[in-house]
Amino acid sequence: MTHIPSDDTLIDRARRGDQNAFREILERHQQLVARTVAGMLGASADVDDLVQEVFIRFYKTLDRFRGDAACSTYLTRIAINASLDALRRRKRMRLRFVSRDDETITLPEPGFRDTETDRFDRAELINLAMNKLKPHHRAVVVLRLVDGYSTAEAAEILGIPQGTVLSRLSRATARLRDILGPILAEEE
Amino acid sequence: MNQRPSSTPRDHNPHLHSLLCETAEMNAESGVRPFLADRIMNRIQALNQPEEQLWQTLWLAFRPVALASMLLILGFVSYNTFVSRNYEVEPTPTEIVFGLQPLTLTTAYSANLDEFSLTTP
Repeated sequence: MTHIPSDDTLIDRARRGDQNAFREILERHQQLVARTVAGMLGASADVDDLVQEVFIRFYKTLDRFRGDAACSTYLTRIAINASLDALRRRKRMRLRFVSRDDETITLPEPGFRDTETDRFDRAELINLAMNKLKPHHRAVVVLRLVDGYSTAEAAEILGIPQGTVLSRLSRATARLRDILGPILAEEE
Repeated sequence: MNQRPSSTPRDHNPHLHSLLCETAEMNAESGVRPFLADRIMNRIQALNQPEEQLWQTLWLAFRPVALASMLLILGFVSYNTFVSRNYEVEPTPTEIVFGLQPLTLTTAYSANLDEFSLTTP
């Protein structure tokens, strides 16, 4: 029978310089990190760079990881913080170089089918709608609805009270429902 | 695959939930280029290399100097230890290693250490 080492065991080995152990952690959690970063940034070329950045930061702070939280939670926290930094940089660039006109979202005619093209169009609309949310609201949506963390876990990751998580989630989902109303109604 | 927390929020639209998950998965698929793990491991190896290389280069370049310095330091310490045997007042390890005169109440307030010789004639 093959023994699958726990994250803590792998982290201990990685701390002692075992790069294969770190690679195993990386392969185990890369999808979670990619989904979190992609949820925060949308369809962007920055996703790949940022996922790399998250694991590099994790590697550099291996000695500081005390094991109080699960490895996945710790990585998600790094991913969210790195994404928030990237969104701040993106906002600064946009203010400097791009027109300040509000991006308008044009909803398609009703009648989405489940074809590949429709899936891409729908994803594009979701990304545009997510872009309308404030970064901190977006973080709550990603943690709760995309990654599936509980309110308590999301609060711990973001370092905010649970009540704030709930109020941000409520406001964010209301905004998303406003923007995506026709699509959601159609799906139902 | 990593384990996902099992709890689901109570106050949300399931269609919105599935659309968000589907979109995040699509964004991740399109945003992450192939061989991510290999690229990250290469960057980590590159991070470790400069420091190791620097130490290796420094050690190779200055090995004779470092060895000579160590021998010199050992010689001084041995000599100081040998000399300190003759002091009347027992010196501390620091005083022995650095070859210092043992500090006493008399020597601390003395302007001229030679007047209060601590060595036996």
